[in-house]
Amino acid sequence: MTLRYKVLIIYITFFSTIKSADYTGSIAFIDVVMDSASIVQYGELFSSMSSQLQGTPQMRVIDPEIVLSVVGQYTDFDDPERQIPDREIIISIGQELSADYVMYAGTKVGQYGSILTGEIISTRSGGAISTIQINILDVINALEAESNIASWALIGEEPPYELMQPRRDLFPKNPKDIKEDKTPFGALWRSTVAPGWGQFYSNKRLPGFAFPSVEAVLFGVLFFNFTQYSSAVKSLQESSKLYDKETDPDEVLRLRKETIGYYNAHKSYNKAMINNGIMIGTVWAINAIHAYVAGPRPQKFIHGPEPYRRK
Amino acid sequence: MKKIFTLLYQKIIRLELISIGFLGIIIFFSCKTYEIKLDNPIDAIADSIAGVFPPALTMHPLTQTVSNGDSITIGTYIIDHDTTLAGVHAHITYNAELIQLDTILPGVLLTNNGANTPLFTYTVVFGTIDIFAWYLGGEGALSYVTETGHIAELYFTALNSGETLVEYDTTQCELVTPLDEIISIQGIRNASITIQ
Repeated sequence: MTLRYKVLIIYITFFSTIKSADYTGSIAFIDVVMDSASIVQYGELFSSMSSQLQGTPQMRVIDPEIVLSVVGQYTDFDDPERQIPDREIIISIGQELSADYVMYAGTKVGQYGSILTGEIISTRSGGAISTIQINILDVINALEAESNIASWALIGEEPPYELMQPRRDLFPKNPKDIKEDKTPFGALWRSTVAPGWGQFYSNKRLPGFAFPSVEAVLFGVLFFNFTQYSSAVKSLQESSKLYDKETDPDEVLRLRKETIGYYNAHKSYNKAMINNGIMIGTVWAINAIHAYVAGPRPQKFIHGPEPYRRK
Repeated sequence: MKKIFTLLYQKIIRLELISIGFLGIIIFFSCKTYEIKLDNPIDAIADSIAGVFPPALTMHPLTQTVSNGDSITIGTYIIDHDTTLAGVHAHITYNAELIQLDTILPGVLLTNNGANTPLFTYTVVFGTIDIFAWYLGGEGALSYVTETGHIAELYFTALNSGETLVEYDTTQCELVTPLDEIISIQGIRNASITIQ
């Protein structure tokens, strides 16, 4: 019976690990100076960036209208001197938008066009992925480059590296370049201290609630077994004393049977408590491993497959 | 709203940690199994485990510790004789310097809980007791018993500190059927008294 439970727990845990693996990337662009009027202009920028990200089908750019509605809850758009919100608020906005990455920025109108300056951060880890500057004119160039890339693809040839480079420069190429504020070890120690803590730290809410719930149920069962064990021990001691004192032969036999019953009960509840403890420990360990495995870490290939080796 | 959930979760974690610690300590210190010793001399199974097989003469309790001047009560029993028992002669010895016999009362076995009146006599000589209990075998009346039962209750007073056995002398004890046939006694269990 216990083995069946263990198998079930292991299955559920690994199933939830697979289910909770969050590799469908999405990015939200947040700019406090943007407004409804500028959405058209930004829309062009976003669609350009989206086309740059087409090589990575798992990357999705979140609709700027939706982003604007959420940002509006944190920023007063009527304030002409509004500032970029704190980094934590930016992350919260990203999480509210269910975005994996957030790029927040401000635009500066320069001599050669508008420069979008900003930072890409992971909403899962809070770590900075990249600080970038994009010249909107470059984006227009990038659109042209994308058309060229598509042309090369149509004739079945690999496009030149120079065409691919702007695409490559948008995001860091190596996950190790991503600076993580949150780490898998951070998730590990938190979940080791308290089941689910590390999962919440990694923004994995479902397992974050599931592990402490399972542990709570197991602790409930343990507490039930403990109360039954204590009751059996108390009855065993009382019944044993009565048996020793009893002088009526029939009553002696009855008390003997009763005492043996309590003895067996206290042994079986004791065994149940030990098995329960093993199960609690197993779930606890699985929870810690899960926290580490599903912990925040740089996502590989966020910019799509490497088109070429770097020259 | 999210902050409320975060705060709530932190509270739950804290409570869970306290509960786990508390529960863990309780269980760690109280989670053990007990061994039982079921050794009541009136219990034929316990006697068999102790190597005393029926029919047997036993005393209850097997051990007791008392203080000077305290009264001591010992019951004498016959265990599982499994045949018709019409008479008993129990020869019991004890250290008369340590305990003094006050009185002897007949047990419920031969009186059939007061329904019958067997012949019940005893003699006491310094340190020895002879108890005789038997049916006269009147026609129509109960003239024998077949089960485990109480022969007599012995009442002593503790005189001096020390340890003494109140024991059956098997060479002189006798169990008989209504036809005056001897029932062989297979085992005995004596009582030990410690006077502090």
